[in-house]
Amino acid sequence: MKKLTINNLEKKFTSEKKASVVAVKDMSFSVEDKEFLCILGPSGCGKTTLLRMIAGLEMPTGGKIEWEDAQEVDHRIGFVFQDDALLPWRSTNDNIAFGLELQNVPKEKIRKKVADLVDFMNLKGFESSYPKELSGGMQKRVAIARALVIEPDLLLMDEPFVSLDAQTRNILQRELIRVWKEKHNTILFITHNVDEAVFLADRVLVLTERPTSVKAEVEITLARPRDRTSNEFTKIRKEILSKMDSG
Amino acid sequence: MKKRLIKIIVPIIILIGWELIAMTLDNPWKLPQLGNIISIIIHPNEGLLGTGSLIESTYSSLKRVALGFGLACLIGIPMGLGMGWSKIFGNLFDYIIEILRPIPPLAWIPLILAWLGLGLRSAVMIIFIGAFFPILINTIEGVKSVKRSHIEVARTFNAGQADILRKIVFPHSSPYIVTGLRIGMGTAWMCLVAAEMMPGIAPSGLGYLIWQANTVGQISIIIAGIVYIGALGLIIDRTFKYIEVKYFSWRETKS
Repeated sequence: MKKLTINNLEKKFTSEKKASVVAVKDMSFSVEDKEFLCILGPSGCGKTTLLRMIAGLEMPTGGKIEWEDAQEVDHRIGFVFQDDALLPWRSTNDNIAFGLELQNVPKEKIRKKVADLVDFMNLKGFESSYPKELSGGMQKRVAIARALVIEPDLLLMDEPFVSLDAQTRNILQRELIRVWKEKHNTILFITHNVDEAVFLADRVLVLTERPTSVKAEVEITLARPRDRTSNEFTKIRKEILSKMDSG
Repeated sequence: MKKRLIKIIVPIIILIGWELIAMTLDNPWKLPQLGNIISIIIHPNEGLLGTGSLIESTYSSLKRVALGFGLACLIGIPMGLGMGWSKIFGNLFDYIIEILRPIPPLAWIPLILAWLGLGLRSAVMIIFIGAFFPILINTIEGVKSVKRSHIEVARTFNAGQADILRKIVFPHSSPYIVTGLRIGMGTAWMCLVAAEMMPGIAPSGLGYLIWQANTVGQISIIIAGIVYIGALGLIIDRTFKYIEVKYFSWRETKS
């Protein structure tokens, strides 16, 4: 992936009664190639709005979202939604295949890619299960596989593990690191959980309250797999927490 | 099955009571014995009262239902998809639907007779009115309940409007549509029998047979006709239920 630059981004929502709310203001940062970037911010600050703008689901009212290779218009973006948004009438296989189906990829090729991803995400044995028959953790794996199937330049993840229990969340965080290392993705991951950000990210951006912008930036150079109980880990957590609290 | 056993106790008591009362009364013009009724039911090919056999009556009733119901599907489903999907289209028809919907279908009979005259057209029209609204309303409901996040999933994969309709809206709405069809079919069936009892409308069908039997006091034939109507309604309803269970088992909430 080429570098993605966000420049003075702004999003203003205007209701029918002409009252307007500014969700994002003066937001600037960049995402490097193959980077794991976490965005950390309080609930309701506008994190999701930011992600939706990058995904093209929402139009910014100001500023720019620019890719370094500006002539190449079509960037493939994978999106993992907070509530998974799996299609309940589709089996695991068919949910994963969805993105390729929409791009009219030949059936045989779809079948092969889906089988590889089922294997890769440890979903063997659940290929023909419907989402309602899967556990929360399994549903996440399907949602991630569905986003990966189009081989995205950038994987956007909107608080994907927030609804899981602590144990499953830890397992999936480790899985995500494995995915990232093996597939060489660039990941932009939103969370409000400091521990999660420190465990996953190369770099953490701390956001302000609404209207949100970047408040602080922390690089994390700890080797992976990271030990949540180590002194270095705790030190970085403390540093981030203090930056979140400072006015 | 213990449950089955308990469930048939009351029907059996009613049948025994019926037979006892019928024997004591000994008046087939009021309450015929079960044997008389059963013998009519199990000889569906015999002509009755010069209006044709039970089979023939059933056939002409089913034909009317198929026509009226089919027409209601052909118009109700596409219109429901359109009204649910497009705000402008939905608002355009909203008032007229809300005004017409609560009118009992049978209230239209005099008007339909005046406009379309006696015959098949009128019967089909009444059935159409009965089936149309449940199909339309359920289809709209299905389309409107499509989750925004499902549409956004498709959009992140660069899906166009046609893809979204075909791959998100339609599969999501299909169980709602089938429920609409089942309810619509129930209403169609009721409208049919009532329509066939109206004077001058379509001299054939189960409703007509019952009405003819009434004029000559043939209680056994009335009851046999009612049994046929009930059984057919049940079979049709169960068929739709079967479709719902078989094809929509993916649904999160089981009814």
